[in-house]
Amino acid sequence: MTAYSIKEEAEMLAAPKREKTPAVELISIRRPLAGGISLTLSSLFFLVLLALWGAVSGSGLVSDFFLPTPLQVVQASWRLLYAENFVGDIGVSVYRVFIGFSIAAAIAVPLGVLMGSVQFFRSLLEPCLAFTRYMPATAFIPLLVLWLGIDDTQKFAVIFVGTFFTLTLMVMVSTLAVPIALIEAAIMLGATPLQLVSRVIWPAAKPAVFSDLRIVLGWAWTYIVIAEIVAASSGVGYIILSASRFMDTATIFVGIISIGVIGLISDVAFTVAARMLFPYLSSNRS
Amino acid sequence: MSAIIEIENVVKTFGGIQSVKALDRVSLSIRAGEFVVFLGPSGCGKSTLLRMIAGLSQPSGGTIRVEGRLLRGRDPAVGMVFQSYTSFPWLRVDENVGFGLDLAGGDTRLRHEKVKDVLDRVALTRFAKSYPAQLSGGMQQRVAIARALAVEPRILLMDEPFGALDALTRVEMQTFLLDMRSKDRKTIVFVTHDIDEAMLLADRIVVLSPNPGQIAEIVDVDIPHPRTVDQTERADFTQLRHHLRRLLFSMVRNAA
Repeated sequence: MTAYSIKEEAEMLAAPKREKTPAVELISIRRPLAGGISLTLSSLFFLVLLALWGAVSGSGLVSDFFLPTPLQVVQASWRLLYAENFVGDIGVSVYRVFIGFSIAAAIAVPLGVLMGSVQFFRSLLEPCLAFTRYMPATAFIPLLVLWLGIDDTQKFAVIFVGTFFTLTLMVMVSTLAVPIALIEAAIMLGATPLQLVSRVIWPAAKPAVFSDLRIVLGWAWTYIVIAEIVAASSGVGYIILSASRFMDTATIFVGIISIGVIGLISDVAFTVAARMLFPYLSSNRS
Repeated sequence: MSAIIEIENVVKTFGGIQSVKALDRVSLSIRAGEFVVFLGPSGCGKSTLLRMIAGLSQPSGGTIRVEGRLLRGRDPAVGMVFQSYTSFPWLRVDENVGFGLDLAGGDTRLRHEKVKDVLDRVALTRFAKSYPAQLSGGMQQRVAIARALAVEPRILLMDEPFGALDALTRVEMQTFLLDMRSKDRKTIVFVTHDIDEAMLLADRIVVLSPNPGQIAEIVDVDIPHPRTVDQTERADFTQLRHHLRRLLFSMVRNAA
């Protein structure tokens, strides 16, 4: 957040008894809102959705076979959590995503930085990666089952295939976005090629790479659920699949919503980590 | 004084089939301790020439020697300040200034002393622990100058370093540069298209003309140091300004 908005916020906090913010100001272009208003809006929309869901499902217009009530979903999650070790299934899925995505990132990030730094590697690898990227990862699942069976290795592989190629290209683009002027300034200070990569290009690209990871991690969750739906005996995807066999719509909802919650948590974790890792980004001049 | 930079018949062409000749047989020798300004309209190749002295770009023909050495890439005797803000945003001001020293390694305490000394010279001691984004444009360029000075280059190249600053800050920075130079007789090669800036700073103005880039005229500025902005009102300054203006505008007209 810029110092500008903090200042505005301070003004608003300092004079709360002043005239109320006119409605028009709430939707002004590029005008920052006070933190309180912003948070209220975010929560409000969640509540509106919840109320809408409750109203539609409770009214009897739609059968709860298709749309369970919020209460049914809460009950289902209670049952899952206490009677059926749902935490274990979440743990299994988180573990699979973590390992699969970590392997992909561990190779994609250095490779992307290399491709973004040295034209040789870009020319060598980019066309091939761009080509592979367009092959849907889901189409690989039967092949991966054939090659790797249906244990965790196959889950890691699905996540890897789903994220690696695009992540590499995204990291490459983020690396290419490092201003050439920074690199030339370092050359004029005597940096060797290796120092250019480790002390200029990498630190300069890091915030953007971090954001690439955050985005692609979201996709990893799509792939794990697909992989678990196709072939698994544990995990959130498996829970969703078996619930659908028993036409237990409420449990399917629990599965989907819990992935949303995990995504939200990982997003917040990334944001907090970014704030700690890159303090210079939030210290703009007022 | 002997020549510290010798430019001989330098040619620079860009592009392939429809190649553009940016510089055509430029020869120039710059003496040690001299303040030379490359002045010219955009497209005259002044920055191209500077970048070749920096070793960031290679001549298509001809040679450049620095302290007698044939230039192949960046020479340790040469430092550079760029037009755009090139401070490393993830490093604090003192870390930025010490960057070149850190690359070379060596005694930590000596490095710290050096950084402190240079920060003091550019009057940024108070902001040692700030991040560049927290500084004004003028201060950021002082960081860039300090960073270049810290590794003690004998030649300082400056590519329109004050071009992005507002008029007042620009004068402030010019004064700062004059003051700095009166204490330490570094060889400075400075690129600008600002006539007043060139006159105020230069011992010698090398006027370049475009299509293709060539030296149009070399003007000695015989105004004694220390110079101040007020002196630009003097009669000899005014005369020179007229002359340079006419020269530059004739180039622009010819190009149009």
